[in-house]
Amino acid sequence: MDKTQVIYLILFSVSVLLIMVSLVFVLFSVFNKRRMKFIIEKQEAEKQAEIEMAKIRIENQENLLKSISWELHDNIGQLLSVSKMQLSMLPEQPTDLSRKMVNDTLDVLSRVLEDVRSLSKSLNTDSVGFMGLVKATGFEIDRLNRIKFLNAKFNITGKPFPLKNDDEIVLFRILQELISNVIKHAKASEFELHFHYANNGLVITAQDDGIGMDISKEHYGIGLKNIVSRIKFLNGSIDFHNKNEGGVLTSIKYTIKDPDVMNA
Amino acid sequence: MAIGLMVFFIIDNLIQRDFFTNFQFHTYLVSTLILIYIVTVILLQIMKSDIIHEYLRSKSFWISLGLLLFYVPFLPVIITFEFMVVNFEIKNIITLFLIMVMNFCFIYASLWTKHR
Repeated sequence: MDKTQVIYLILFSVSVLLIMVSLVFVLFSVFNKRRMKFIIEKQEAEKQAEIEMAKIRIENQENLLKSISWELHDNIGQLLSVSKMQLSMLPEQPTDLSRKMVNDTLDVLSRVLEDVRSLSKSLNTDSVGFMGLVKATGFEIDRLNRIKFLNAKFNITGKPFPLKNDDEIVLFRILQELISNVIKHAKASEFELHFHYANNGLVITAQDDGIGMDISKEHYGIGLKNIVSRIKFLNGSIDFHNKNEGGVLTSIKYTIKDPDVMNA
Repeated sequence: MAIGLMVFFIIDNLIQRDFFTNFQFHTYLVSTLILIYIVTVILLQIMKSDIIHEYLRSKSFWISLGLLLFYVPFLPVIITFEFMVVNFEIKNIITLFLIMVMNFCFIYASLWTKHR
């Protein structure tokens, strides 16, 4: 090959290489970009499906609780009322002792009736929607104090405003689950619930003086998993913290998605 | 498309080419363009499908890449050779290199990609 031919060879090789490199570069960059988009879309779809699943699960649970509430109110409540009525209609007994026993039973029945009614109210989401989150929570705290298992306190700062009805129900269920966890596992004697209403949402803190908990996510039971999935549904956040002096401090942050709801 | 290419080949040979002595430049050009078009369509299909998630492990991606890497750079080379007097050896060296690249892609496709 003479000099001109060598120059030709170099020229051709360089141009061929250039075309190849640019082709590979363009192809891979376009494919990688599309791949990233695909992954993001897939993640979004999975997140959406998860939220939908949580929604369906919560709806199912609500329906179940509602039917239990109706059952308590319409069936067991009625039966207890009838028993109370029949006991009241008993003829006068000869001895004072028997009369006293009947009166005691009547008292017990009255208390049971009251408890069944309050339980029925707290299970039914309609009543939560009707009363609002603050009143329903106060009702729940009263119930907690009434069973004398622990000393519960409830306080509010900021100006309370109504949240979206569905969100109030979900928040109420989270609080119920938290309270139930405290009763079942914490071995606490004091429980304090605090609502702080801010401009953009609500911060709920709950603390007890119990034995604390294992806050690693791997050891979450069904109750805590339920709480986390409900919080995810609300797009809020939850944080568990073991206090130095014992007990758990739980803080829930709920941010309003649509500020117009506040005025609704 | 194949029938169209065949008709084009016959007409091209009837008008200006001698089938037995000359390189079928026009037919080669048209068929290369058709091939590049088809490969581009396949690559676009890969982009729009779920294969994009793991496209490096897709056979059709590597085969398409091999074909593109041969035919696209070879197109200007063959055009230049058609109109310029250049040593035939240079063409052979470039062709050999491009064939090696294309076959590397094919080997990769057959050895290290997912079987359906």
